[in-house]
Amino acid sequence: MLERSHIYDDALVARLGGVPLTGVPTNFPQRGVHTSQRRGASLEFSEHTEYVPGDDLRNLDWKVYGKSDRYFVRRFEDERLQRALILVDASGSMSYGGSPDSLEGSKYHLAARVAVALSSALLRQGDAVGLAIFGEGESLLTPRGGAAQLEAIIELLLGARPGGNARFSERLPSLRERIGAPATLYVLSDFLDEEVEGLRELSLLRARRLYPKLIQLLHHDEINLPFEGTTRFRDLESSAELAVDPEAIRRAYFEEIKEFVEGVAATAYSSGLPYAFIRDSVEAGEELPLLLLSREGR
Amino acid sequence: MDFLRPALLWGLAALSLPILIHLLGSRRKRVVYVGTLRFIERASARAAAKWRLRRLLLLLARLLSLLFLVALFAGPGVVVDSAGVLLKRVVLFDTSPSMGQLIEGQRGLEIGKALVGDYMNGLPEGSRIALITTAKDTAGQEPFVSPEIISGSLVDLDLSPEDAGLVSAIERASALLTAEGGGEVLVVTDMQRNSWRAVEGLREAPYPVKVVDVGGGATNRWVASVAQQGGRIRVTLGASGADVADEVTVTMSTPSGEALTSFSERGEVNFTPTLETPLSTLDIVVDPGGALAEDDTLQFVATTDPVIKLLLVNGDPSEFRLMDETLFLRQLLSSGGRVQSRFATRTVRLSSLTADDLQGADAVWLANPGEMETPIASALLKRVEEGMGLIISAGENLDPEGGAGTLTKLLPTPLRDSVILGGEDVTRAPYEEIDLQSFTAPFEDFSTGELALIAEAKTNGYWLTDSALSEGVRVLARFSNQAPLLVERREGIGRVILLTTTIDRDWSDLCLRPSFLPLVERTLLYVTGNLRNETLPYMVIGIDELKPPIEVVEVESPSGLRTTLRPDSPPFTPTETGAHRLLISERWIGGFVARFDPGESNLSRISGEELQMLGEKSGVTFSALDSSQGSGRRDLSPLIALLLALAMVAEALLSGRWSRIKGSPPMDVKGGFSRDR
Repeated sequence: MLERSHIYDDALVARLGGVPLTGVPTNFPQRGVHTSQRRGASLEFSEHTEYVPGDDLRNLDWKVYGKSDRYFVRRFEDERLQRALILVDASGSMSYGGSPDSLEGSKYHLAARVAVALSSALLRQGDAVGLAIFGEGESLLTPRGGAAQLEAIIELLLGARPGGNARFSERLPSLRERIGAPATLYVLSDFLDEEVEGLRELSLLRARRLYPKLIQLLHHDEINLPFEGTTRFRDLESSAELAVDPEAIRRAYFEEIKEFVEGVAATAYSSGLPYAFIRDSVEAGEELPLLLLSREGR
Repeated sequence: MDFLRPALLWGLAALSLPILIHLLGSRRKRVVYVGTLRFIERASARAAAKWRLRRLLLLLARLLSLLFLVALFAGPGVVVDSAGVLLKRVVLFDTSPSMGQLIEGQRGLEIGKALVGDYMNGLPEGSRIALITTAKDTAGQEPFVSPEIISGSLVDLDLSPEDAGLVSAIERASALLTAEGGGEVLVVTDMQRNSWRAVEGLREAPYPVKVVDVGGGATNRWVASVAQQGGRIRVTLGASGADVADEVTVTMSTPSGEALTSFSERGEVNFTPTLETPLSTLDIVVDPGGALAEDDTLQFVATTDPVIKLLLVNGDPSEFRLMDETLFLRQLLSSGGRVQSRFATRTVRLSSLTADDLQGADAVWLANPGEMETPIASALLKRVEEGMGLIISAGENLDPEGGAGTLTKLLPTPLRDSVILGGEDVTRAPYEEIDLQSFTAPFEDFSTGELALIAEAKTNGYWLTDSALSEGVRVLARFSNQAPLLVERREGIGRVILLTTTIDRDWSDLCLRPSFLPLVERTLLYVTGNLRNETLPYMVIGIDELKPPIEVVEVESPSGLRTTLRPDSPPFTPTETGAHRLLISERWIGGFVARFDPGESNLSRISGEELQMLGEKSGVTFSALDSSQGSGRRDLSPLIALLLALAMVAEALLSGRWSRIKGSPPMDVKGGFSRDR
């Protein structure tokens, strides 16, 4: 089983902690770090707009009036809290890469490290973070702020055991009611359960003001198939078997897996979903800051 | 295809390994859990046909890799001559005695045979080879036959003590090749310096000479020479090689079983053996003897000069000492020194001579004998037939017809009459001198040098013989008027010699001349059979010759083969090593030892660089035999090595091992989209 030290990656936490994580601000007037589409009273200048009656005269820009003899008001960014849900795929396929008696080195292990690092970063900037784990069963920790929430997230991750099927398409629609909207949805999955077409359903969540950001995790061996000699491959989720010579199919396999990953990426981009592909924590440190800064999820 | 080490082809059995691995490998499967089989199933469906082909190709690559590897170790080649022309080859075997040197327990000759056997196995079909040796005897050296016939000839090939040398052999080989239109010479040799040094004098040989070096260590000890000085025998040892042992033991064994041992540090030892017979064959052995065993032992024929018992019969005794017939002869034979020790002289008067006096005598000298009783004459004749020597010197008492002609039977030839030219003083003309040119064996050396002073002797009285000489009678010397001086006849196994003048001053002053003593000594030795040919202490086979004898002599070689030598025979050259005996009428009169050239014992080697320099001087190209090129065989090792490398690369590529060796980066599935969004 995983231990706390396994999933709390100091380097990754530090890396993501230095990134101003963008997200969807809540409707609540709590001051946060996320810029709202509403014009607010923050110190961050947004734009000039022509004065219309009703504008706060305190925002009238007299300097512009002096130059142009027209009235303009200054508008400022409204900074509010973000609600985020980290969704970790705990299906059977996520245990790939780990030893039989431990998940260490598995995709789930990587997902947990990323989830902890994300949670830590979000919580540090005052956001509310929740965690959902979809596997054989379903666990949900509704978004909250505060240091205690990180401990709760870690405990939930450590207690989960990959197995079964994530069934995103079935489970995601009910999320809105449980966590509220708007919210940013960080989906950590290998997406092996879903055909590429099924991913498009994720984009439909935006209509419910849930903004998914997709983080696809695959193990190096899943890509390179570095096995030798005739090997019996057994599906972690269905227990189906197939005996082949990896050397013989390596090239074709690579083409298949590449096509799949490209399909996921293409689907995500075409649907306006931010997407990142990572294979280890190093790549996570490189890829996730870019993903987290993107606003396409809105 | 041809292989240098065909036995290694058994390694081809290893070809079954990849097949077994191929067949069994597919049964052994390990289980790997994967997130989904979807992609593997799709990939497998796409790659199935390609996979099977690849597996077959992989099996083929592995089989070929093993095949080429085994072939490479086995020494692959093809027997193809350059330009497709079958070269004529002359295999020249150095069969000199030095090739008998032991190299790791095997004779150099045998090593050479094995190498030549391998060489011929690699020759193209239809090759023709001539096998010649350095032996003097070139019989049986058939030119240009098939390698199979040569292989048969090699079995019987052995060392030849009669060695003609490399130079003449290479010239013979060149001549053979010239007659055939070219080719190459393969010299199988021990690189002995002595043999190759002579190559400097080799006339230009237009064909390449390839050298097969079968020599080993150059360390050797041998009995170089043996010399007898009186009773002492000096043995000189030879040595070659830097690490030759300084201290050696030399053992001399006599026929009586006496074994004398001496240690030598300076290469020379002296022995004083007890020689019980006039002729003794001694065995001399040096230990340790080094690489060449044949020269560790040398036989030597030692001689002990016997004392000749001479009975001097005075046919003209005189109370007046100066008038005595035998005065000068007695004086000479008792003059001390070597002559006195060699002859035991006893003098009797003819009138008191009995048959008993003849017993034990090796020679009887009848000085101016007169009438003789028949029993005495018969006894004398019988003793001569038994081997005793009889010398009759003439004088005024000699009367061939007196006493019923008893003396006539003893004389070598009938006498006609005596000739008296002048008065009492022989130095006053008229007189006759001795014709130096008339001397024949064994007096031929009286023709020149100090002995020729005998020509000054003046003679005014002598006996003439009948003009017709009977068979077995020969004149050994004549006067200047060609009247006989010395006449000889064989009687049984003995000899009778007549001196036709006196041995006192009555008819000649011969007795006063300094050459008289040598003449007397030579005559006595000859008539008693003790005059041996001058032979070397030992003779070198194929080089030294035994001069034609003055009489019929048989030479018995160590193998028992007898060769009859006559005065008109060509010189005798020994062909066997060991002690040879010289016999006259089954009597051992002497002997010599034949050995191979002592130069063969010196195993010092010539370096390849020196040989090339010598070759440049004489216009001959010497090179070491390359087992692949020299044999007309093209080495396929580089080609097979290339094919092996290609097969291994193919195997590495097909098995994916190359990717692992190369450490190729993981395949990138992101295709650049991850960052480029």
